[in-house]
Amino acid sequence: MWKIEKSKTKKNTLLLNGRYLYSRYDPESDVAKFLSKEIKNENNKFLLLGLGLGYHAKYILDKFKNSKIFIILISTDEINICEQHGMKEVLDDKRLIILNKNFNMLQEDISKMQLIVPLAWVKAIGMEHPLYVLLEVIKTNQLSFKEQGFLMKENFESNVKLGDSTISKTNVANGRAFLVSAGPSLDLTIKLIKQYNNKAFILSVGSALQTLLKNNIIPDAVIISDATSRLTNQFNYKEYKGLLFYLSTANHEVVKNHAGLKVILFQQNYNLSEKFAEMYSAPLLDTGGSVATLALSLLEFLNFNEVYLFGQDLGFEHNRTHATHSASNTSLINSINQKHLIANNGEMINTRSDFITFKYWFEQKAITTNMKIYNTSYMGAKIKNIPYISQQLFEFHFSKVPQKDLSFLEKYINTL
Amino acid sequence: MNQLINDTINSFNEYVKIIPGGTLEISKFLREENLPLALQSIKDFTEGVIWLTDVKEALGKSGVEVELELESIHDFLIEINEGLEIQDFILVADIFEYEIATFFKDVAEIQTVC
Repeated sequence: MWKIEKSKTKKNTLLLNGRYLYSRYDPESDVAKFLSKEIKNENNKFLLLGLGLGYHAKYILDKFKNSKIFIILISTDEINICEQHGMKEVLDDKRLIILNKNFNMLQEDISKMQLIVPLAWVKAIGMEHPLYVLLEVIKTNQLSFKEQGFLMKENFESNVKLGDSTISKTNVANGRAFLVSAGPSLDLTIKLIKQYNNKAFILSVGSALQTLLKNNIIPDAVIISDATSRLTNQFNYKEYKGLLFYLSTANHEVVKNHAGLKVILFQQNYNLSEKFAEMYSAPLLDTGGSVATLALSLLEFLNFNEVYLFGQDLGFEHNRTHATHSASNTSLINSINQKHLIANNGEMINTRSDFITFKYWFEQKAITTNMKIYNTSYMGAKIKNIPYISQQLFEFHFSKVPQKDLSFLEKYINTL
Repeated sequence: MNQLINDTINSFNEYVKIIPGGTLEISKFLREENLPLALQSIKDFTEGVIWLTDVKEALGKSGVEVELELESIHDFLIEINEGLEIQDFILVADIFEYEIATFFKDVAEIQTVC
């Protein structure tokens, strides 16, 4: 699994599972280019994934004299590899601490450390590695923030000036909710939403709105979170004038133009949002990285007992990722992220790295929440702890359910 | 006719001249983990190579010999594709920085026709 090669600069380079962890021409320069951009100067404590040949650790120790590095090993072989083929002097440096299996960090405050997770390592460790899913989640979030950080800040600053309502905690328990996403299975299950739309609170993600409207279903609320202008194609504010939940960093143009009632949501792990929420005693939601995961956090906050996922496929047959009419419908050609998962129907389906991280989030949420969550997508990915519900069982669940009552919303929605 | 050929040669030369800077930029994006920009630039580069191939063929038919050996670039493109498939972005960055940029730096300009 590990392979040492001599680079063109005569320094060693390293491959893991057939993928380069450093350049085969100039490994030190490669690491310097990555870290010079990655490191934020205010940090002097680092949590670094992988020791390898020690190039990352060496760069940080040389550059930041007061630094302290905690290393998460991919495997214990790394210490020998570094000692025999790499920058073995870093192993003698007292500023470098190799974490044991329990990640015992001697009571260090992890929130004050910069987490450095080189993408190459995440891709190379392989899906079978016990840290793979966790690292994929972390890396996906880091890359998304890197890509959209400026835009998120701009949106946040403009959105909070709108003075929209937010939500507050009450103990009012609610019944059933449909969380509608835009996966291809929505085309097959939308008839159930139509048939039982008066029995459950319908929360649609922005990209599923068009599919619902084309089928003459008006959701009780729509939720959006995308910071980019892609959202302008997903959310048709001309046709929909109902309740809109939006993440504080969602695209400002879309939020601003919505004519109906708007409710701003604040997310955890985003500094501006956390400060603002604290100031106004607004709750913080776990976004989970996608609008559907944010929506489930919201439904949990609103005390729903049962949630039925629609169009939550987290994978796709062939190259089709979204339902007909969905604003996100694309054919995924030559994807570099393509992976495979088992579907609820037992077949293997294609998926992407980001979908795998969302699946992991749903699985963890299903363990910790009091909500009962069901998945209506037969062709979608099997999500652990969220059972597939057949049409027959679904109809049985709803056979004696009273009509929905939306008056609870008033108790949750507050002006800032 | 010569005017058209000369305009094409000039465009060809101009484009070849900016390729090394572009490929170094791709490598930088990859090493800094800026994947959206890197992948968009790789797509643009691939389209650029197709354009060079078409122009080389068209100029050849007009009697203008182009010595640029684009076959080597096609081999690099295959290696890049394989690297992208397994998400080995360091390998891909290396090809752009140390192979393709170097290849295009040494390309001699095509002389315009009289």
